[in-house]
Amino acid sequence: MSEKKNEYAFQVTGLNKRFGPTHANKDINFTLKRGEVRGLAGENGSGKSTLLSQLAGIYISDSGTILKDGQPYAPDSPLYAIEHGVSIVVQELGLIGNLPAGINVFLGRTKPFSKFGVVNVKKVQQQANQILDKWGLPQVPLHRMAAAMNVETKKIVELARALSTDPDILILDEVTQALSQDNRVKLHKLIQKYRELGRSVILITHDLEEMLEITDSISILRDGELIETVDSKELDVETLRSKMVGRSLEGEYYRSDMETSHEEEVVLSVEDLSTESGLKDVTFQVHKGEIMALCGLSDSGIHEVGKAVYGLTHIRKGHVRLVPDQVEIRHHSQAWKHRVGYVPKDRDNEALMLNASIRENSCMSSVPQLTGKALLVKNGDLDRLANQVREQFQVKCTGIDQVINALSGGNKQKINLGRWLVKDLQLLVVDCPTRGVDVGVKAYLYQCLREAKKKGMAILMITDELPEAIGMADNILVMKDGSVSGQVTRSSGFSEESIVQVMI
Amino acid sequence: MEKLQTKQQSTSQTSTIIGIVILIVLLAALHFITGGKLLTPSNIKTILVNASTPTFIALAFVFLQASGFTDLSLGAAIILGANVAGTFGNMMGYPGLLLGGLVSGIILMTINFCVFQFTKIPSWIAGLGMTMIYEAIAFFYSQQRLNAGLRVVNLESEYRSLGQAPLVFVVMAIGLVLAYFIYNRTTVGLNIRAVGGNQSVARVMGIPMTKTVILSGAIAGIFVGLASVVKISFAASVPAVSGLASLSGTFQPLAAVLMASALSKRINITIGALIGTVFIMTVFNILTLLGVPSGTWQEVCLGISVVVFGIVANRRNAEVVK
Repeated sequence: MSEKKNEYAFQVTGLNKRFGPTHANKDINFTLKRGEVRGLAGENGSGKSTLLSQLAGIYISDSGTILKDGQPYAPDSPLYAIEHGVSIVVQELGLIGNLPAGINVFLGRTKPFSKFGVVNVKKVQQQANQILDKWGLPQVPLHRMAAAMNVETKKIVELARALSTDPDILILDEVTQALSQDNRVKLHKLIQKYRELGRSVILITHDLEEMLEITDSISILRDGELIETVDSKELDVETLRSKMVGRSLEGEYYRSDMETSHEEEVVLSVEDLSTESGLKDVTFQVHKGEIMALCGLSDSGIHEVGKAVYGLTHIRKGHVRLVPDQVEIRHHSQAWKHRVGYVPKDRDNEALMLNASIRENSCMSSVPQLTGKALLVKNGDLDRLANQVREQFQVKCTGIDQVINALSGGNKQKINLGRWLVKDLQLLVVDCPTRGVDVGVKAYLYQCLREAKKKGMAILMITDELPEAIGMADNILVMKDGSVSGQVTRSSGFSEESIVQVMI
Repeated sequence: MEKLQTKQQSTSQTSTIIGIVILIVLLAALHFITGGKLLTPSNIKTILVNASTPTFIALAFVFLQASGFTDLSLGAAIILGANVAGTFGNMMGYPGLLLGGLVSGIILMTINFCVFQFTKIPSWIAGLGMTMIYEAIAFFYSQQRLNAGLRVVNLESEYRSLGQAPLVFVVMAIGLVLAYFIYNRTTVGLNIRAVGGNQSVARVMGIPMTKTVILSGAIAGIFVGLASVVKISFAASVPAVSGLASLSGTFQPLAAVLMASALSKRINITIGALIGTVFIMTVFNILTLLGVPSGTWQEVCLGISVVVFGIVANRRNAEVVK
């Protein structure tokens, strides 16, 4: 009898969670076996992250019961979850910027490294290094402040933090989206190792191919309800997509044409670009109506190119030119003035004002255009624009006055990207535009990008997802160690293998 | 990119060395301009002694800033604490002086942080309220003494060594080491920085919020207490003030903390606080030696120096300043 009980890592019955009038999770029932890797799939706002937060003690459930290894488990704090062998890596970045990364790994649990309250920082860093080694994660400079790290490195530190408690259930909320190809492979190996050790993993990823590849089973959530749990082997991407949105997705997902198609006119010309952030002699052009994708492993410099093109990085050598306007971009205000948009990868820290409303966030990039002759902005105009973004991108919210931090990651991203797409831009720089966005919205965003391309907008798409680059780009520029290592055109035929070869 | 950043760090070290060389040359030039008075041992001693109280206030501000609170009542708490320390010092000697200052500093700052934490009033507003209360208490206490035919608290000269060289330097060194260790090497220090850095994340990491916030007040109180002890030891008496006049005593340390924050990418903020106060005192000292009238003009020069210092310190790090 006891053996039967222990077969399950989790047995969840009738779990509910409400946020005011919103019933975020309704009577959730599911079981998770030991050694099972479970994926949670659903549209943004379907309750996936809320469910994971309930399991990890970040949110306290309103009702329902959870058994862990057959024993009652009622997480009322993350500490409770950790003490019971459950660790989570949250979707949003969860580090303290003004503390060294090593300390972040053991923050709140520094007692074993302390004598009379004095923490042995070296010991902390050694232990954190051992965790990275043990689980095959890349080494990171643990002495550096977390704030000075890029999104990917921060995510690895968060992973180390979750693993530092040696949990038998690891919960990963959209972790892979922050990782580049090489580190994703490392994470997949880690998950496999977990499975082999008889430990369980629950994860959310919007990369459905990846979900099908690394999970044993997938639970589908829709509007806060767990619809069904299916064996991953029985699913393909199309079926999974349809199950998630509850209908067949109409129209194309990626581009169906296999030809490079853009106008002759060059919009962006980057020549011999070198920066203090590590770019070396980067040269390329983006034409009117072209989607140029930038791909590369972690530390390849793809994200730094986006910042440099938008004038956010000091250029040591070389030029970034907007050819139609005959302007050299040296500062972001110049880029903005000449109809260039930028969607950074680090949504919460670089793109959104988290404590401001949807209205303020939606209008931020358009205020000067909305300013009248008397230098006044009409509230009506701001409302109209914010409502346009909200409606066009189907943002799930209570209204434009809602604080943006209360939205799910996907809905935040819709506003982050949508506020630029409603503008008349000549160049849009998008860094991982579909990070944390579900398939329904992803399809819609791809459609928007295709339409923008049709209208002649030049798009520089920086992405960690090869299928996205292959599916959308006219040309793919591959980078390695801050330099361009190769370029592949759509007409010559894209394949993951050929691109990965150039990357490595 | 991480490798490249390591390369940037070595470049940054080179520029730090260049900065130090420039500073030495500048000091030598100023020494010459002030007729050879600036770098004399007695003048340096004066500068350092004058920097003692502001250093402790700046260290208290470091912990306030780390915990994410802005409390301007430090000046009033120090005046009250200095009077308590003076009273007990005269009664019980050095033990009374130290205990009186430290206990009053810790109690007053703990009260402040309890008010911030439990009432959820913005700390700078609540801090102004507490300033008025502490100023009033100190004022009533002085009045009571005068009504009773006593003088305002005047620390006996035999107990004033902690505010004068060389003992004041020992107290400063102890305070600095204490601040450095608490801030960088203790669980409570790291928890305080976590709470000030991001409360939501700190909560998820299992850090006890209320306990940490109140402890941060108590730790700031240690430095408020030390500031009280040094202040009364230096000046013998610290008159009570009213009408928020005590705020003026916090401006120099605030400027020092601003400098320390600007320097914090290269120098630990606790050490930066000391450098900041010494820098400010040196500026005032130079201006006095050059015959610049005290008050307005000295304040103007101080303000300009702070801005210039901040710009120079941030110049290479402009991209990462948020």
